Amino acid sequence: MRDDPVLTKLLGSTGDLDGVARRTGGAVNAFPSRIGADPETVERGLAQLVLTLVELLRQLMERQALRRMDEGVLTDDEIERMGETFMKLAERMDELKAEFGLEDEDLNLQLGPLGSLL
Amino acid sequence: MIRLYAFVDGLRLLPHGLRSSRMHGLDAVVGAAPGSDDRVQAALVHGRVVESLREQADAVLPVRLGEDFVDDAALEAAVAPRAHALQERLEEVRGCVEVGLRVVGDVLPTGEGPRDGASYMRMRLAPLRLRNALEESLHAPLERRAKAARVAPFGSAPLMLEASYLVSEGAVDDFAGEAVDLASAWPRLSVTCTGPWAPYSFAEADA
Repeated sequence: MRDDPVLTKLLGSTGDLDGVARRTGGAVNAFPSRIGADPETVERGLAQLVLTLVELLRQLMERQALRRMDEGVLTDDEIERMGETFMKLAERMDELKAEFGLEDEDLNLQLGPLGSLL
Repeated sequence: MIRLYAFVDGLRLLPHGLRSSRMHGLDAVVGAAPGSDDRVQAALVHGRVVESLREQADAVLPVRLGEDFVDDAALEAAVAPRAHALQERLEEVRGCVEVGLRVVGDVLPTGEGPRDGASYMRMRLAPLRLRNALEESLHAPLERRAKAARVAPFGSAPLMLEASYLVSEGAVDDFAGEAVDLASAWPRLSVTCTGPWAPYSFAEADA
């Protein structure tokens, strides 16, 4: 790792540096992925596109609910019901991803100034 | 086809194979656009050029990777409506460099998944609360020390915080020292502070 150009720029760190590199991916991941439009894989490409949009909406709704929970404006009953709904949605998404052979990274979106979806 | 790398001021030495083109009060550093479609290689070349310009110029304003134009006239036409804003930006980053901060950590509890809806929500809320705490106790003091700062919106764990700071060139070591001091309050997280970089994150006007 000593020859890694990034390490020549290291000004300071705490914790597990190797872990940081492992868990945040390399430079290649900085490029946005593309939806496959090859006729033989078009079904998977379409599923990737649809699931990415569904995941975006799911995360937006969940984030909004969590914000309201953090502000203390939800009752225990509402938290339970919302949590159960989001949990089931997450499980169903995992099943659909497995069905089409997709990983979390395949559903990532670069949302410009909003950052990345996943 | 030409590729634009950066706008500069007070450039002492041009990187090999590049030239400087004066337009609308700005010095644009350009070179022949590479024919290859290898984006990783193009990114590495772009990074090396900008890094070299940072070392050899009083002020450098990098542009995004892959800003290609048919010729100088096309570049000049594209620059014309933004020339004033670019000059202001160039002035703001003069004598400054970018320092990057990344905070990474496994913050989700390990073991069994959520038992019910409420425990699912609590589990999902934990990283958001940690992110807010990091913004207050780590990012905010660094932002006050910097000339400007940009923080990326929170996506998901384990990347808990990613921020860039515009810092005077002579203050980089002190800045990094404070970042490490502040980070020591978070022993379960890995914090890295990198730089000095060209001010990539400050090349565009505030959103």
